[in-house]
Amino acid sequence: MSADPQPFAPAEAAAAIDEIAQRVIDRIGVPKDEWEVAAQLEVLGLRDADARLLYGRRDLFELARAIHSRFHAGAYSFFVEGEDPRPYVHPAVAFLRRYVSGLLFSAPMALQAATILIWGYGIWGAIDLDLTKGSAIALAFIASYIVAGGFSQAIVRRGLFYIYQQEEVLARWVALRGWWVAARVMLALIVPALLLNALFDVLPWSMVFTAIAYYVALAILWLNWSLIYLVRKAHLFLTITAVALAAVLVAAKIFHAPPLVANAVGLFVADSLSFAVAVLSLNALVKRRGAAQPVNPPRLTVLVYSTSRFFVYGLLYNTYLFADRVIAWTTPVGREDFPPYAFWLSVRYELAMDLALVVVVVLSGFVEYSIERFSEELIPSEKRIKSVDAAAFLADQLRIDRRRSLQLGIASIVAVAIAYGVSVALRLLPNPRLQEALAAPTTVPIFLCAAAGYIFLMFALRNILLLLTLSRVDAAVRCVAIALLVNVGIGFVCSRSIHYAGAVAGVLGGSMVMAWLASHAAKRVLARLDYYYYAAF
Amino acid sequence: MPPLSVLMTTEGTYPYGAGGVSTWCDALIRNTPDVRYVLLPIMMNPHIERKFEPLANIRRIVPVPLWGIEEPSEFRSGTPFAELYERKHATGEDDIAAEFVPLFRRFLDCVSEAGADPAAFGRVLLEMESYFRRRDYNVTMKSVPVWELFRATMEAYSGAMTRASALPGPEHQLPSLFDLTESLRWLYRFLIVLDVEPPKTSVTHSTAAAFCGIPCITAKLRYGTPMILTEHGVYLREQNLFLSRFRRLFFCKQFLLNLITAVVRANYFFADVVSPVCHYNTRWELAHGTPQQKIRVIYNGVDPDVFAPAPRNVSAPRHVVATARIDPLKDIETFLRVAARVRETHGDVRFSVFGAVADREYYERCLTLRRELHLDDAVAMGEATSDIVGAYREADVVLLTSISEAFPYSVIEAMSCERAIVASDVGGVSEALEDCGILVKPRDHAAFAAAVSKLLDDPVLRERYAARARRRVLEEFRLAGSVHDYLELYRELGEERAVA
Repeated sequence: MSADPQPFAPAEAAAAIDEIAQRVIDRIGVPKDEWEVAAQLEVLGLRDADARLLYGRRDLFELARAIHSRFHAGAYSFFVEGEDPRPYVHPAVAFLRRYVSGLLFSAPMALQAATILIWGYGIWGAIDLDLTKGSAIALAFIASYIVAGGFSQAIVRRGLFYIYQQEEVLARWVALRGWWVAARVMLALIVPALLLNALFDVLPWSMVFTAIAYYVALAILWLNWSLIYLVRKAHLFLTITAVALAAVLVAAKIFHAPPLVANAVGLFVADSLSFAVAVLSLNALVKRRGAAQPVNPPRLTVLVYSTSRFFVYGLLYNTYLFADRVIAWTTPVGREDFPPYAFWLSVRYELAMDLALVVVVVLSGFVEYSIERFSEELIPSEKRIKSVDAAAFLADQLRIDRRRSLQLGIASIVAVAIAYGVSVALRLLPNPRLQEALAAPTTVPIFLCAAAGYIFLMFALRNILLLLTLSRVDAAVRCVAIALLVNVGIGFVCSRSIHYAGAVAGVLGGSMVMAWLASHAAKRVLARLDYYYYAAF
Repeated sequence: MPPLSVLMTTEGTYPYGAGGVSTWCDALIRNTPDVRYVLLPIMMNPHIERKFEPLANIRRIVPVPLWGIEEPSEFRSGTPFAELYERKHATGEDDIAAEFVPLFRRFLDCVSEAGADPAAFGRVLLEMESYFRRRDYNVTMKSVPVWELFRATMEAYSGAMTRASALPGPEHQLPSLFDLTESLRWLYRFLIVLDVEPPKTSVTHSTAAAFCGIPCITAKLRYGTPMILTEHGVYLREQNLFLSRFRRLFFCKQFLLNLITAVVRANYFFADVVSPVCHYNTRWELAHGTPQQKIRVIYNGVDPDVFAPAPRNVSAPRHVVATARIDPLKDIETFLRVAARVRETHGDVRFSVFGAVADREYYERCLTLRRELHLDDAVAMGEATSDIVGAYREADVVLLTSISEAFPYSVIEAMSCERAIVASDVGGVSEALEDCGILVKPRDHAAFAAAVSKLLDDPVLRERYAARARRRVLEEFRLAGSVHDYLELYRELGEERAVA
């Protein structure tokens, strides 16, 4: 038994067609062709019988053709909504939010430095540690940071890819698997280090074992940091650092623990807390999906290959950040303190470099703002511009880039002034070792050279982050690799032929090269942003 | 004689998705144990669990995930990594410009014409597939020459469209940079199927006139392998409905519908036999140029021993049941309105919808409506059941309110379980039900309610319809009959091409 409609009189059919047509147009906006109209008629419940009896057409397809034809004759009104309005945020507020977000990455280091200066202790290190232990800790820090750099980039890259795909189970799988592989590799590297020391007697064993202990603890910390970044809880870096520092101070000031023991307490707290936060956050991500194990994870060889360029970038970039220290502290040329071992910390050099790092801290917020604004504006801009007007859009991108560079330049002057202000403030602290280092004749030249180098580095980093945002990792790797060679080359020659502190000239030279290469690469990308945005994802 | 082998291609269904198509695939493969199958499922992403146990006569599965991967080579299990690596480095911009760009230009011309020449479109698909056997897919499709050609072609096409018609106007027809980016990214995903080498088999069998049909088309052109196309739903119509949501992105909608129409027409053109599951589907097939003589309707079938009648527990409250996923096309909102109307006069009647939630937003809308109609205690919905036969046997009346169907299993299953049915007169429902139930105009909840009430009040009428329905299934819609028809088709087309 079926239900057939009662026919309208033919005279009413035209009005009926217009009525149903307007209903269809109201549903879909602009019809592409009669087939789209036909599909809509069917889901409105119409059948061929209705087309015949109600609208005087042979079937729904003929009715759809009639409607589409009348649409093109302008018989129906249509409306297409514009983009949803974006909530207005005052530019100053937007800037401050992004700036503070950028500072979050450097805030833990700043807190650590302040705690050392004020109370004499950090999570790793203490102001009154002898130079043997200090050198061991410095070596461990540098080694762990460099080795972890590559793994961190690979884990975050792949993990974020899966999160954007709403594959949180896989994100957790790749993050924890990556963490475990990284931890094993980083631990395994201790073996050749020990063999090297056994064969060539590079450092005393007490120093080696101290360095290894700190290396393991710090390696775990950097890997945990990358997991926390992946789950977008980077704001917890500062909290975890503060808690760990509090544990150090309790151990040192209340329980009178020696500095190494206090550091061990702090590192244990930092490692445990950061790992717990990371795992709990990853589990919370997965809970929403209701599944525990990933289904059909990708081939390992391809996974390694697809993240290898990011690994290389992370490794090279972190090496770049500390190459000058390794070069400076492995030569006795011009040293005032007659280093007893092949690797020996220079407090003056380190202090000057740390003062220059204030420039990085101040400018990192600006760089973060710059990249976030670029990412936020890209899609709305691309939606506004017709492709036939792309030239104007691309010219505009280059103009905005030049404006950001100018703003960064102005901010750099302010950053140097702040760094200088910090050095003046430090002179008020009653620590003889600190005052002696501040007053040393090499400190100011190292500071000025490093500050200039870091300014160029921040210019480079802004462009490198742009390249990474658009998945141009090969270009980023090229910039950093060449700059590293320049850094090492200049630093090695200057430190060996003139003065150990000449290593900082490598930072300046390398950063200038990196800034130039990265700027060139970024401009090339911005000039063809239409293509590079398509190819990025 | 060597056994028959079939390359069966699916899209978003068997063996990784549930639903009518998957049920059909499983039943066909299970009941043709002497046929060897190679499955080529196109999947939305590679991280989906298999929903069906592997059958002994499925010799190989070649999954083709379109999303959830950075590039196709991540899941190319048959190719050694060294070969993939070499192919990447052997694909330079000069190679792309010389070898791929001319192919891609022809491809885009075919798409712009919505596949008006399906033979030409098929040939260019074959040439592109051959190209991807030598060169890397990701490097090629993400290259500058490909982007520039795409942009130039689409600008020329949309410019011509604005000159051809004043409406909807350049504001909507000329693409933005975002439109071009999105369109080419979609194309990148859909054409991943060209990066797969379809194996040589006796016959190919595509379960949709969709992108999963492309390996069947290229196998036909490359090896002369006969192709069968079974249309369960009408892919072109479904995609038109889906892309109608792209209100703000007219260019993208237009591009994708041109692409899909070209693919659909190529499927119809190259298939040796088009076997829709109902006559209703033939409307779209004929309208897009499929010769009538190519079309052979093979209805779905059910196992009447599994979907067998059983007496209902008469002491239980009267129960109206639907077996449908929660999806706008199933029109659960009309089901709820019917329930409200029926309960005005039949306050003891329960209503249930047995089916998983396919569209969470739609489900929330249905929950709100259920609440507004004060039916929270009267209508159960949102959960699938593992005992579908039991669900039918609980019912006094089975109700189907869909606004779009082909030849729904839910109708013939309910018929086989000897139940009275009220169903919307859409798609092939009337071909299944004929005079064995009550057909109602879709969305007409007053008419639905009247029909349901009539059956609830008249047990004799209910039994008469139910008995007729069961008889019809035994005569026309047995699974064995459906399987036999497909097996005969395989033998007819594949006899000369049996591959050891």
